[in-house]
Amino acid sequence: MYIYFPIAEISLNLFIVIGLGGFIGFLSGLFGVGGGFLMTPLLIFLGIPAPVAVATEANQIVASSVSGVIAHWRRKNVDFKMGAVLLLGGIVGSSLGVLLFALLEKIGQLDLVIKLSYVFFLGIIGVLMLWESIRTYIKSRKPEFYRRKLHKHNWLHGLPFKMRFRRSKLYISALVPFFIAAFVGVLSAIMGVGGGFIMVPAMIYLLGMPTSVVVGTSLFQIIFVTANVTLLQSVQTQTVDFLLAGTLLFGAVIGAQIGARFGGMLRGEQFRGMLALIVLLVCMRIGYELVVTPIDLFSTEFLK
Amino acid sequence: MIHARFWSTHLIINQIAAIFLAALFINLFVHSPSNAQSNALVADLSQSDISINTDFNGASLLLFGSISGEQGDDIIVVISGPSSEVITRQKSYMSGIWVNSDSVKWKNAPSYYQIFTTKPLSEIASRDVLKSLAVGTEFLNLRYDSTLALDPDAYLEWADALKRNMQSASLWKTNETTVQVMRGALFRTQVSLPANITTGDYEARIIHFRAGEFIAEDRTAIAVKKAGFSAIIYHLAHEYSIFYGIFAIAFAVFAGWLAAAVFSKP
Repeated sequence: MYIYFPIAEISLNLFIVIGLGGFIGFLSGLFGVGGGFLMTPLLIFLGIPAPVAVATEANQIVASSVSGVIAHWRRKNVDFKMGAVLLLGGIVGSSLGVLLFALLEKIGQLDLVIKLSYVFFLGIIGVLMLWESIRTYIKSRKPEFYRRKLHKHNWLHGLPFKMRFRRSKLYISALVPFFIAAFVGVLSAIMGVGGGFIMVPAMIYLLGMPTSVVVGTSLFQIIFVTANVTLLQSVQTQTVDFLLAGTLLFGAVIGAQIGARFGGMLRGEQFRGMLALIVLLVCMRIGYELVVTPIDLFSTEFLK
Repeated sequence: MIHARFWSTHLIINQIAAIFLAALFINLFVHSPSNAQSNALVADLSQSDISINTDFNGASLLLFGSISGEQGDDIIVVISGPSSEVITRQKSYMSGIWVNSDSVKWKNAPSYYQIFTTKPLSEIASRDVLKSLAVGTEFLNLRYDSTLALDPDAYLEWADALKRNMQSASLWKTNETTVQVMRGALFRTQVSLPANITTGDYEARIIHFRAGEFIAEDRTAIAVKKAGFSAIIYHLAHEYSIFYGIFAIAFAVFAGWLAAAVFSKP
């Protein structure tokens, strides 16, 4: 059964779209990641124009983050004060990102920048995760216990506008989370992702936030960043396909629940190792496209 | 499902039969002795409005008509879609990766251009005749805009690339020997519009040839537009984009909340 998506202007098999949503939803439920970094490239592989894929995925991430945040909120794992600073940065960054997106599209380099960002960030994150999980796996065989400091002090702690974040047990300059969020916001707008896969490591390693509140707080700010991208893209490029987002959502919601049930059966480091491999696979698949000689050196697209 | 398919085939056969009868009458009338000077060509389509709704996956329609012809006459049908601005880009190899470099913006490329013929084009008429009738993508008279200075050879290379890309998107195509002519009087051909067509007014030109000579031409139109739910979404997204964006966000928030509420364990 085919369904015509009015903004993407493409007809796709309904079951493939729901299945894709379900598959990515399953992985995101299993690993606790947003899944945007997998969904957007797959939508582009399916033949959906990159601008539509990116803007529509932002719309879909709004829904999955809302449902994720509710679960974390119940367990009181959201630092709303930190979230507020992050979302301010995120809104500034993602607004810049949407402008940059339009500029890149105009000069015909949007595809390239999307692909390069994917290869670069997925590559780094994938390798780090894989290394971390292998290290943990080896360590778990010969246990050693030591008490870690809450976080290390470095030059970032000398910046002005210091604020106290009670839930995160931090007293740091608000500029640091603001600029991190702004940077991730730019990437979020260009890559069609929530940015959790960059934000979460940044919050742990750069800000020194306790891991318990990291995911909830990141999801909280992702809602606003992706909502901002959805609104700006709707107004600027009219590339948000509501019907496509809804169809993907339907599959993703169900998939995420099944994934979350399976998640309990896996051990932490096996878990991260598998996710790392998926991330690296997507990274290599996109990288391959940049490197391999195209079948036709010329490509044509319609201008609206 | 089987039932529906049976009925639709049945209806199409009926439709074709009715059309042929009608065409035959027209033809008999045109052919009557009182109408000696006859180069009448009448053509019509089984469907002149194509609606793109959410179940759209391309359309197939029947183009048919009558000619006052002889055995061995030829028909060329040219269907062209609304002209659009398209951009063709060339990739070049730069420090290990393929990057878009030069580009040519075509001002008036037809978004759809398909030719249907009784015989291979070259056997129907000479290149000069086809050129004078503007049949074929090489006679499109494309206007372009580019930072490159295109000499005739470079122009040909870029126009060729455009043609190749449009062909691989199934938008431009020459379907040779797809028009059937019966007893030099009736003709028909199946026209397929792929799912990725542009909305707007399409024009069908039907040209009658005899022994390489132009005899007659008729034109008919096809209107392709979005309809139903698909049209509503498209319209809202373009005319009320702020509200559309807010609505899309509200819907996502609601769906996310609903999912959390439904699946949370008590």
